[in-house]
Amino acid sequence: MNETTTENACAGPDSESKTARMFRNAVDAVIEACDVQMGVTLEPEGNVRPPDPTRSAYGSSIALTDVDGGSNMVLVGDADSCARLTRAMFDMEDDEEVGEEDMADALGELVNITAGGFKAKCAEAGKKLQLGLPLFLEGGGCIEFFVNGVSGAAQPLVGPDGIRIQMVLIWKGGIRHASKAP
Amino acid sequence: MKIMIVDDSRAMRRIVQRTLRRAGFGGHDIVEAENGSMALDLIKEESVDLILSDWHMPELSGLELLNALREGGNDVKFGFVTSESTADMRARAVNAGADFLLAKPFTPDDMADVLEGFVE
Repeated sequence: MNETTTENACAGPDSESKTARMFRNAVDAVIEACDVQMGVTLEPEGNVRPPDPTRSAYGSSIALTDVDGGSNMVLVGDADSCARLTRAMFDMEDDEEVGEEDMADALGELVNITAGGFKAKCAEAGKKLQLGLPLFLEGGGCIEFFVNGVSGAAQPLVGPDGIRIQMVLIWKGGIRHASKAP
Repeated sequence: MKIMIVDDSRAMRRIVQRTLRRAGFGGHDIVEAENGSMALDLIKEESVDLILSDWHMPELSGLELLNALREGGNDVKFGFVTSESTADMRARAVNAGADFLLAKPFTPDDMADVLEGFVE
């Protein structure tokens, strides 16, 4: 597994432990948002790793801007997982069809809530963040262009009924992969 | 009692409604607006007793909506329901005349706590 270090986002320059803590804060923010707002319990699966474009049919991205340039937080998942999260957010029946508009709204709100929680944790650590607006992502491998163009790290998360998503942090620069998990 | 939910996110408007219901406030009339500008237009036509508003919205933000209401002499009860809740934002909300700020994610108990005293 890889360790991800960065010179921006919520971490101080070359502060590996701080980076790991902030990545964990981002993961915790996803878990809290899903649990409190949607009643969906997620837990990390394995360690932080490079994003997997093959499990990203839909997603939502939000910009996190800081004095160092910032990053993007992205929540992505396969179609079934995103549909299940959408049903949970909207209190829909298990067999109710999920439209793309519903999914865009649900995933956008989920990443927005998550980023807000992450921002609060960063503020506690003395780091200011400015949040952008959620951007809905669709299409197989919708994060592929990110991993080809810039650096990112992902934490897979699994939940009930086969829900499987990734929380991805993508930095605009200054990231490198080392040899151990944070 | 009439409660206005102002949020550009359809998902969040539904969540707020659902949470109100689960917090025991389901018997009130609900009015929805997609942004501050739409909220102001609606308030000109019908008075509301409580506004639950997002902070960041297109056209007119929640803070701008609150400022416009207070400058116009409207002292309607006003609470922010927002994903951002830094100390600075809380201070700005209070200074502008907000009655409370509820941070996302929130539970029905969280909602009940902030509405205590405002909603019967």
